[in-house]
Amino acid sequence: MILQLPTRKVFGSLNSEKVAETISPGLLTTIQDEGRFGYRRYGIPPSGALDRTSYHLANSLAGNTSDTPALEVLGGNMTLRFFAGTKVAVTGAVTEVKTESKNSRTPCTFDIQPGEMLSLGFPEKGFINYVAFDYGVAGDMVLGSYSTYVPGGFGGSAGRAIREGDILSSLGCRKGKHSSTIATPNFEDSPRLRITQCLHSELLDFGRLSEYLTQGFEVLAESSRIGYRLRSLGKPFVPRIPELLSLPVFPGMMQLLPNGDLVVILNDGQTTGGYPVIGMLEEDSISKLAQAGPGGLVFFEFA
Amino acid sequence: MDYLLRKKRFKWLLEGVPAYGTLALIVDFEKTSMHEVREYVFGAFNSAMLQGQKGFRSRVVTLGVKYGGEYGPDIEMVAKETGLTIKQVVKMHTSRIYHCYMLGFSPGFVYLGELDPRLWVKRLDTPRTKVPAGSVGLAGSQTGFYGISSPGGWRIIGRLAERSFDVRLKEPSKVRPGDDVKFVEIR
Repeated sequence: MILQLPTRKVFGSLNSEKVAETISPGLLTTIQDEGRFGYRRYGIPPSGALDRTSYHLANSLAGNTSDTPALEVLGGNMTLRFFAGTKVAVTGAVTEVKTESKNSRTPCTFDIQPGEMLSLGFPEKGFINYVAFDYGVAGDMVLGSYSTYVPGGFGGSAGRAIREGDILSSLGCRKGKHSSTIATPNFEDSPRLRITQCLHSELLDFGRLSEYLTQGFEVLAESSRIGYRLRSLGKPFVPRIPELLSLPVFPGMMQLLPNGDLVVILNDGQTTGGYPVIGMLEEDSISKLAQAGPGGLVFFEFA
Repeated sequence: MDYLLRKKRFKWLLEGVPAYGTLALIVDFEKTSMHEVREYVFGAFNSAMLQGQKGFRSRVVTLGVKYGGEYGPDIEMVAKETGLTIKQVVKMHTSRIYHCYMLGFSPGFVYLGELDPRLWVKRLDTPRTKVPAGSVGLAGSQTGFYGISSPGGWRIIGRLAERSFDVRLKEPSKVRPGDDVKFVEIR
């Protein structure tokens, strides 16, 4: 019998300073930065932080430049124990964050002492948190980015989600420029998301399409960093559409599936697709959709 | 066209993504205007129409493939369905030079065509949850191979003898859109 032991891993190079141990990784925690650009022609998606506004805010609060790698935590419930004293910022979903000396709520910063624990609770509003350490989180740099791309098995936290026992190290430097504009996103229940017409909108009756999209949609459980799948609360819209050849697709594009469900492509999404693209979400709306999380309710309106 | 635009190294052109009869351009509109982009795109389109592939150095990439056995679990099924012997399947697959239309679906997945019509088979009814990296498959008029391990429904007839896709390299794929590909059998 082969006993498979949990493989603890130290991210970063041998001589980088160890900062924290993962006590509980939560649902899906990965190292992300702004993303990997210029390789779509090889089928490599950008990856990177799903809610860029909250990610930039975390870096800014921790004293980092905008593109410094940080932890992206989906669904909260993550705990770290720190070896070293450091400045830590937590942003994104409205979440209670605790250390031994302080209880706080996002967005917040901590001057962590060696040996201290930091825990994120369950998000009350929103789905995604960012945890930034001053001087960044070390990880694998692949094709110009520290972002983890789990389906491809490369980048960031060794191409996989962070596990219990994994050791996080300091990158020891900052990446990119300081952000000039820092915004604090607000989290609303059932957000209205703005879309513009896209490649195949004209194949459909625009009146019926926009009527369909203004009905509410629920984010289904089979959603991930690849894309969110949404189901209408009303009657599904199943127009006849001719078979299409695969064409380049991008994060924020909304595809209509044969059963009326929608797929909004996100940062780990495939670079090409064959379903009709009926709309494109505005950048701010992509973050809002990502933050709605599985089970969330969203509405769309044409800009 | 992708080549003509890339050759000019425009500061505003961040990426070009070619696919079947489509070219997506990612443009930095802080460095240019829609008007300028249109002008260059139509210009490149016209020259591409006039000159065809002239100036484009179409490379022929030769790749060794181990056919059948554990590397090509579907080759017997393909032979049965097409009424050919396994030897004939291999011979037909290696006798053409294929054009690379695009990379997509998953990192390093190379779409090639066109296949000898006698080798046209449908995709698997139920896709495999994991197809090993380098697997060479057939689907309709297309052939191609997987850059990384991923789920997939193509009929797998062999596996590349050498790695063709490596994200540690600056140029991660041996085969690029627009290249020609020739397969040779490695025993």
